[in-house]
Amino acid sequence: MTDHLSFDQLCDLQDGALDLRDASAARDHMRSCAACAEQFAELSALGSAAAALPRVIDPPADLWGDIRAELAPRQPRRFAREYHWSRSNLVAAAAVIAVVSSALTAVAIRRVDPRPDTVVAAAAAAPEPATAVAVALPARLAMTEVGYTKSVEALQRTLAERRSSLAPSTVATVERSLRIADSAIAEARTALAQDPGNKALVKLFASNYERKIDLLRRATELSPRT
Amino acid sequence: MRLSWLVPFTLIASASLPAQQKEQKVLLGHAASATVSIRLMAAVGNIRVIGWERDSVEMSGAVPFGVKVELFGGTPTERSKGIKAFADVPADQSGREGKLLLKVPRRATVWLKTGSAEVDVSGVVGGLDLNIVGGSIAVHGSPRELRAESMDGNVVVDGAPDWMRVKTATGDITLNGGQDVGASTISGAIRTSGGEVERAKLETTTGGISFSNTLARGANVELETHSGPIDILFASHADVELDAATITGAIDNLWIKQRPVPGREGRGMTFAASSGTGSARVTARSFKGTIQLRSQVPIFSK
Repeated sequence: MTDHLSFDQLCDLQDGALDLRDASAARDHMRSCAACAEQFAELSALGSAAAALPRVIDPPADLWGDIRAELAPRQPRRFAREYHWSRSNLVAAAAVIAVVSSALTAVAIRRVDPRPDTVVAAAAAAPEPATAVAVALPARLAMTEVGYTKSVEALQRTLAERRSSLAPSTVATVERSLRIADSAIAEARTALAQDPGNKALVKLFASNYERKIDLLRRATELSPRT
Repeated sequence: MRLSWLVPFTLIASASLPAQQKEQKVLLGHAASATVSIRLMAAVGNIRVIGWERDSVEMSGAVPFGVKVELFGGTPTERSKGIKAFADVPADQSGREGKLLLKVPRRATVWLKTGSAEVDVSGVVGGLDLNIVGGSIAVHGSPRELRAESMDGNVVVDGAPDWMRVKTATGDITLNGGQDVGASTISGAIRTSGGEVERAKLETTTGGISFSNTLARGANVELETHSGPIDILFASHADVELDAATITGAIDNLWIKQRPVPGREGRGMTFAASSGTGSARVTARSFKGTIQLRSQVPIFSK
């Protein structure tokens, strides 16, 4: 590395925001560059000064309970027991499976919907949003919704942990906006179940989710007491 | 230039104030490069940022007693390329009092994060990244890049940034100018006007969208809402191709003599039309919000 480290790189290093490789490269550079090392030391001193401010943040009382629940060893799977079948048993079982699945496929093909997307019950595939009505969505959309829902749940968990550190008025604003977003998602979702091929509707549905996720992300990044 | 001028100066003049006065004055500064990058995290009620024609950064103002204000710019005798500053408020204070004035080189990049504050920026042509919760953001002038985010604070941009992205939850967004424009809100309203837009994406969940910018040749504009009204005001001789659709709402056309048609399965409406050479493209989508199309010089009325 020949150039000096940028201010942003130094800040990110000090904030622990660089990945391992970049952090290692930055530290290597500072071993041979007094100017960067000095600037980093001063940045660190500023960080230490900020850290020394009289502020106590007690973890929530139930935090350890949550951590313990996450760390708890998973129950052994009920079907983990091993079976030792003979080769003839395996061949017979494979033959039965092949016959049954062929029969089911034949029945399904006769009844298949001409649309490319097979309709599935999204309620079974995806965790249901709080305000959404359990209606069927095309398979591709149901899959997409699963992705959105996972992001929403992860962000909502983070927000719940940080909720007590935010100002009540901010929490109220965020919750009000989330209710609006949920209502819009539910409405678009119901319409999509009736008209799954409507591309404009698909885009509106996805946009509603994306705005909700973006709002949640921004809420989780707010500074304490704001 | 004598370096002694560039030596950072610091003064927190609380000692000179009467004991009963609740504020302390702030004056901090540092020599800086013309394109210095500045990060300010400050919990105060009012922050003003001004771009000036000097090679230094100066932060002044008054904050309540107990607020710790720091500014760091590295080696005192060198023009800093990066400056970090903060105003940290004790836990028993609201963080909504006090005023800071930050003067920066015009081409500086400013990153600012605060709580509920009135933020006013003018004269900066570098980059701006402004983040508030409540209060408001007002930007005057044309920074190269602008990113502004708030929860319930309103955002007003009066200028023509090359690139601009604005987001709120409930706050209104008013953009007077801009070339590459992005604005998103849940329930706030978005109003854009002025300037010649090349690319715009404006989206709301329930808030209204009002678009009346001039369209550059080949411009691409997307307007999208769930239930808010969309109002598009075209210039009198706009070269534009429009594609509008609403799932269950209505399209109110006062723009050109052509009727919207019913949407899929008889619900909602769609409208596709063009004017002039049709070089710009505008797409408007709503779930149930009404889409209104107008012209600055009405060609016909219903």
